[in-house]
Amino acid sequence: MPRTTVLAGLAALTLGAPPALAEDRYEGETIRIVINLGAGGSTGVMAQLFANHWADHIPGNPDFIVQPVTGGAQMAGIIEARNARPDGLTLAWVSWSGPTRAIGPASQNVDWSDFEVIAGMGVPTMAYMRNDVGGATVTGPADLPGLSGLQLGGYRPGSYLDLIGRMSLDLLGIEYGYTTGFGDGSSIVAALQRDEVNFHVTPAGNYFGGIEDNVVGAGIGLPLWYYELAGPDGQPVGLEGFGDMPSFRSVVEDLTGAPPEGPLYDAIEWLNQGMAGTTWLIAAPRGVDAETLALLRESFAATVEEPAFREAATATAGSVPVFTGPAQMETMIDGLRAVDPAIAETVTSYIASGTQ
Amino acid sequence: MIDAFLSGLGLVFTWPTPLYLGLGVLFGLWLGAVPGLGGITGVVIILPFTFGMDTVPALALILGVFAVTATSDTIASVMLGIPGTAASQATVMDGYPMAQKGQAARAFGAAFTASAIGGVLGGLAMAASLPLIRPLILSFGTPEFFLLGALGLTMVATVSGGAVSKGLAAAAAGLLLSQVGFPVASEEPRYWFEIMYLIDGFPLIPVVLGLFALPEMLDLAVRNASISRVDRDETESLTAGIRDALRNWWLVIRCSWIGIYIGMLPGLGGMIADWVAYGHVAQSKRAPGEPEYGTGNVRGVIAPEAANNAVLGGALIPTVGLGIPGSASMAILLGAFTILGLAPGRAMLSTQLDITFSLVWMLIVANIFGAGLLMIVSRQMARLSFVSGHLIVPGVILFVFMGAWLDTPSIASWLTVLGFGALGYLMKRGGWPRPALVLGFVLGPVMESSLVLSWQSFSPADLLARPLSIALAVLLVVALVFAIRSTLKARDVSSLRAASRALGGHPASIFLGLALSATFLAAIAPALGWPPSARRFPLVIAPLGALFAAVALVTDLRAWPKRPASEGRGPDPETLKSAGFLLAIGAMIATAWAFGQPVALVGFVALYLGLATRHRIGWTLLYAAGAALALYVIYHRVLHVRWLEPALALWG
Repeated sequence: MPRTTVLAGLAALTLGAPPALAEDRYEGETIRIVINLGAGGSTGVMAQLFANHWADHIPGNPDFIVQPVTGGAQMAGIIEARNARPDGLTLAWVSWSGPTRAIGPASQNVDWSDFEVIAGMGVPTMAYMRNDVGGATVTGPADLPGLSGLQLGGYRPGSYLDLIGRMSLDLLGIEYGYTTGFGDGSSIVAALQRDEVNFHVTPAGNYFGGIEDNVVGAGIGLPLWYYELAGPDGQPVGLEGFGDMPSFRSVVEDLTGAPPEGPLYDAIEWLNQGMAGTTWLIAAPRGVDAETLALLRESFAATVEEPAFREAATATAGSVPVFTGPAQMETMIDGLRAVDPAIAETVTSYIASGTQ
Repeated sequence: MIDAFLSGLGLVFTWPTPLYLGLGVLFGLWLGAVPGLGGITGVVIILPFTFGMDTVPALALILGVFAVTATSDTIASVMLGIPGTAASQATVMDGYPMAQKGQAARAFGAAFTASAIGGVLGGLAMAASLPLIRPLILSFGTPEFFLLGALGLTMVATVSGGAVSKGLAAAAAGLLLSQVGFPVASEEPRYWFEIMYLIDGFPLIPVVLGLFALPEMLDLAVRNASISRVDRDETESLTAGIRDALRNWWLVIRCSWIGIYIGMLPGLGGMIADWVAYGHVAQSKRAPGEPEYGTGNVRGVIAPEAANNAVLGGALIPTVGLGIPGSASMAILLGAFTILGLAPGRAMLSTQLDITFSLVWMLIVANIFGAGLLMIVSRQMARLSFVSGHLIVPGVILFVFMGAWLDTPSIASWLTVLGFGALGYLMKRGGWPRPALVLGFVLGPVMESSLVLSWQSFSPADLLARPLSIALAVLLVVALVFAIRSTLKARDVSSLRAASRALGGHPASIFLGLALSATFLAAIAPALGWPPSARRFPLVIAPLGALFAAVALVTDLRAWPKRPASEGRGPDPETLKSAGFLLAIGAMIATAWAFGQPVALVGFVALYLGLATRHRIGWTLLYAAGAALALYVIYHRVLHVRWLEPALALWG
């Protein structure tokens, strides 16, 4: 049984059936989903895709509008949703960046207790590269040690994808150069196609949604590894689509002869679980009534399990996002209030050293 | 390949695709005509409706919108001096002066014809380049982007109308403004004064609307006259404009090619293509008797309009062929492609090739249909240039402020429009070229990011091994020499014009010179503590900007005694009226904050017509009711605007 089925079942058991009062609550209403990134990116596409199916699971079949509220380093959308009336008609679907916000400057900090969590949705992260680096042909991770001319293309020094990529290569003891500031994944892919950079860590949705076809399919690149995500019981989740691609953990074991450990790996795990495991936080402003919240949580969990949604998500992003229930999300949010100082130190020192 | 091309044509004319294409075109024409909206707004609105639709009709709806916004955005540029979208900024340069000369219909005829041809050529270029896509796009790397941006900056002299030191200082101010917010490769935002609105930098739309729209509306309000400053002349007709465009066919083709190529390059787009095309035509030789550029030369309308419509065809090439969206609008389109089950990249060049070619046909059909529709109504639109300015001002103010709000929903956006409006007014009065500031603002991010990325990835030896970089560097030197020579040659002719423009606003010019010199100098100190990649650009711009502003200031001060004594020492009535207008806009913003935007905007319309211009009460109420209806239907029901929560209502 898929992991998400179990989680959805648990959520349904915990929350019970929606109360009768809530049943006609959304008749003729429009729910506004605020996203904090542009409409065309993976956040907007997945929110829109999900909204199309979510309506079928809410009594009254409300309309949905996905509204991008961009700016303020992704804070504008978060603030907009947080300040909305808690009437169940405005929800947040935000790229949350919880871990990096927790250790970042105060202006970027968010008190997530201002929200009632409905769910978390995550997209695993993976690495791929060009297959011709410095005159050598790369056929797999085993060719990385000793390779010269490896150049990691990054978004910006504080991006978790940059950080995970740099830490991974450092953990493997591989020398590399670092070009950052591309800002978005498409620009990195373009630079990789032009051979200005040759290594990229990306959300798997982007990889399966186009990079695989246009880089690997075009014969200029190869996938390297994916980063495992763990469910509440510690077991891996979100493995669909990776086929026989190795996990980063297994690559480290193969190349170093020992399982990964130490402060660097702890920081990778922390970033991966908190950022890739929960790419998006779906929430209502604090103060929404309990019945409406229960209805939203249950209908969300049911939508995740709907075959039509899963099929559409797989067709669009290559895999179904990993679902995290509200209880697990709230535990994660609690954890952000007391980040392990060693992890915080590792991450901040990487951001500082990556600043050009 | 030919089979797929014809099969694509069949798809476009299979019912109900023509219906959706037509609907998309109508919606796109409206979006382009209203300042501050544009294709992205439209596609965000219609995207949810395309779920569940068949692929080709859904694409027709989306592409219909995108294809023609660059055609109808000419209307605001010509009639009001306000860029309808970011891609029609350069059209203002000669389009608005043509309307002021009573030649709006001629400008429309030329613009719509050039737009249609540019759009069709863009579509054909897309079809022709699909087999060559990879080498075409991948030959252009980050160093070349920097050089292209620098090449764009050489147009400052062209758009400065003889006031070169002011133009250079204004361009430096635009570059410096583009430095606000997060730098490319470090995590500390610059010049943001801990104001969250500024953390990602100034948004383009409120800046452009402020710089261009408010000064022009202010001018209309203060002069109490129509846009056209001459009587109606029916000989300056639509057909004359069409003939102008056809007579300049080689220019149309050249500028379409500029649009296609710039569209193809990720990160640039229409707002740069139209300036490059304008720079191209303005640097070309004028025929005897032809008006100067910037004073109503029809070729200055034809060039940017051909380019900005051709951009879409070019921009679709990397989006469809490589899955690389080069702009925000292409990113949305890419999202729509994936939702509709298409796989941009190799699949759209092989198994889905017929659909790819249907996009080409959609572009061609939409551009011809859109331009045709606009030509039918252009005579009526042109007549608006002879209507009393007082009837135009309140409506345009409503659309301008709602456009800024739609782009960035924050009261700070309205303050940005007002702030840049005041700056634009001072620049206009003082003879400082506003396009130069916009040029710097638009090119700044492109140049800085490509410089920072090139710095990390390339050594000087790498750069010397890139033939395209060397070719562009040579072109840059040639353009610089050409710009300096033409500036020196034009100085004698244009100094009179520039001086006459600046004379009335001499104090405004001196004030700007002082303020900009101080701003540039103040910008140096904080930059010294930033990481190298974050400080490199501001530390080049700020001292140079201070130098150019100081030169402009000294020139103004030396000319100061030449002011006629009759001008008096106190502020003239026009200045007082202008200050009053800006204060009224400030009061409108305060009202919006206190009581909400609908109250503020409808109140402004009613008070402007009723009190300031003393229109009859019935006419005033009718206009105000129309404004309220527009706010409700267009912005509330169709665009789902999130209104500002009124501060006083919250207390109650």
